[in-house]
Amino acid sequence: MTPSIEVRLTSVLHGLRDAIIPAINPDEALAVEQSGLILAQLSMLLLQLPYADRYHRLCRDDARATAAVIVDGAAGGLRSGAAAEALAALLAGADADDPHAGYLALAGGIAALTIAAAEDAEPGWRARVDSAVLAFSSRQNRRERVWFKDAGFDPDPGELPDLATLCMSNPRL
Amino acid sequence: MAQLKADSRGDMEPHLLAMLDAKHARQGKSGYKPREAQDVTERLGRLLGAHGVQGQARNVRRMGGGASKEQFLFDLVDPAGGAAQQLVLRMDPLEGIIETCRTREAQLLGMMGGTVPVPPVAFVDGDGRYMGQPAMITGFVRGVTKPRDSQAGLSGLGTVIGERASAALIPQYLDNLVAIHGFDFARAALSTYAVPQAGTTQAALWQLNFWERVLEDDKIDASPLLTYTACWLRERVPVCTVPVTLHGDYRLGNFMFDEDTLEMTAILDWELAHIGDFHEDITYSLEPLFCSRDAQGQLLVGSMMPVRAFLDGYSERSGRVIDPAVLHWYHVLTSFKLSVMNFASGARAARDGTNHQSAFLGYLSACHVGLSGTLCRLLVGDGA
Repeated sequence: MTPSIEVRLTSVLHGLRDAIIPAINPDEALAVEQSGLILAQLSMLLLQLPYADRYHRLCRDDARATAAVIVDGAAGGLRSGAAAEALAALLAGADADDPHAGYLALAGGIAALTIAAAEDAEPGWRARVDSAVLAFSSRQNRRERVWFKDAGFDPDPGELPDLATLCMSNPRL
Repeated sequence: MAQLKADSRGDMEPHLLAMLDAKHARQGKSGYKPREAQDVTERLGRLLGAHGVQGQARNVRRMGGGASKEQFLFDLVDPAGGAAQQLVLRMDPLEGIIETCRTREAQLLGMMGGTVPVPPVAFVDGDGRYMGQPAMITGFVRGVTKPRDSQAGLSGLGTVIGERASAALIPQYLDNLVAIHGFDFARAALSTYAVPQAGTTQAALWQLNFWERVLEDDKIDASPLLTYTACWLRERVPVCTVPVTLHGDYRLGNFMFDEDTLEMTAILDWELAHIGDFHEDITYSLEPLFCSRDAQGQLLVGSMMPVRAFLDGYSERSGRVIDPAVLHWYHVLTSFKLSVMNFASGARAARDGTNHQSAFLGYLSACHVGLSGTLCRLLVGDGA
């Protein structure tokens, strides 16, 4: 399609940077700050856009693998049993065409099982669930730190790979 | 003292429970527009008239900084003599990264004047009948929140103070924190505050219940990490032997100082103040988001001092013994609540347009990944 999403976003950035922002009254502190952040946000989106699908697949695939591990061998009370069944159903129906939606659904199921397991899971299974969820959370957090590295908030950006490198990696690493 | 049941999730300060209920009831409204100076001026006129003030509000202009409230500076001008007093208006948007109460903030602020330097409270419009939204007006205090030549990011994050200023500010930073914790809340008229029972887990549970409720109400996506963390916290709530007054947001960016004398002129942003465990305020200063690093990569609390110096300095001045296990619990709680503010409340307000600076909140929301990184580091290897 022409113009592509990248071209359209770039044209918006040109207009914002070259025409709109210089025309803002510098005394309008809120407008000045908001426009600068809009520019930064759009610039970050432009950098992320080529990797969005691959990134969401990495997240979804790791969530799927984690979910498969924690529903296996479910043992406990009614709440954790029901949450494990619900997560297993999500696994069976995970949307292959929309990895982001698939990730969000699986993350919701993993979170629900985490709460339920804390309430009435058999101790051995509970320990496995907690261990897997924490390990998954650490991997997911590292991916998210890479995704948002350019926002400038990361306390240790030097230890992170760039987005292209991340998106070529194994999701379980 | 008996331990309180860890599953009492509705147990929190009654005033804060009512506040969260009210927020939840109005969620779904959108279309909040930033306040304009003309509208603010007219409303200030009505508020001042209702208080019998003869002066007029003039030269209303928006103040920069802050991530949660609409803030304006204005001159209260005496029409007879022409003398002007500078005042600061702090007003709630519909939603933001935190839900707090102006009446409650003003109550404590009004009491702290003899304890630590604070801006004087001039007027409170607790239900927003004059200003359209709850509001508080204080006197303007001169000073800076960071050296003028320093670099800083959004909301004061990433500020570097420098050696000269640090040497002068460190003792004041510690002394003021100790003074806040030593404030005798039992003798103060603080009707909107409740005191957790000493010798129980109630102080910790109130905080956990509050922030878990915020997560539940505000989240737009699920987070296995935050869910796991809430469970972790609930199974390890510590006992608070002696509750003290807490600032709740004690960090670089929330105090002002005179750049010439390097004297602190005001402790700001008391909206998260409450009565609780002193470890909670200490861990707030330890959050890496609010720290900088020296040339060796060592974390500097308030961009001024190493962690050990901060902890030792606090203990020496206060006479309190810091319990590492309790400190760890509150460190996890602090990272949890800061993550909730940005991952849930900030992202929701940015999405729904219920705040005056949606672009700011949408951008700031990304900082939850660094906070969650702290959480992961604190939790990994700590008994899943």
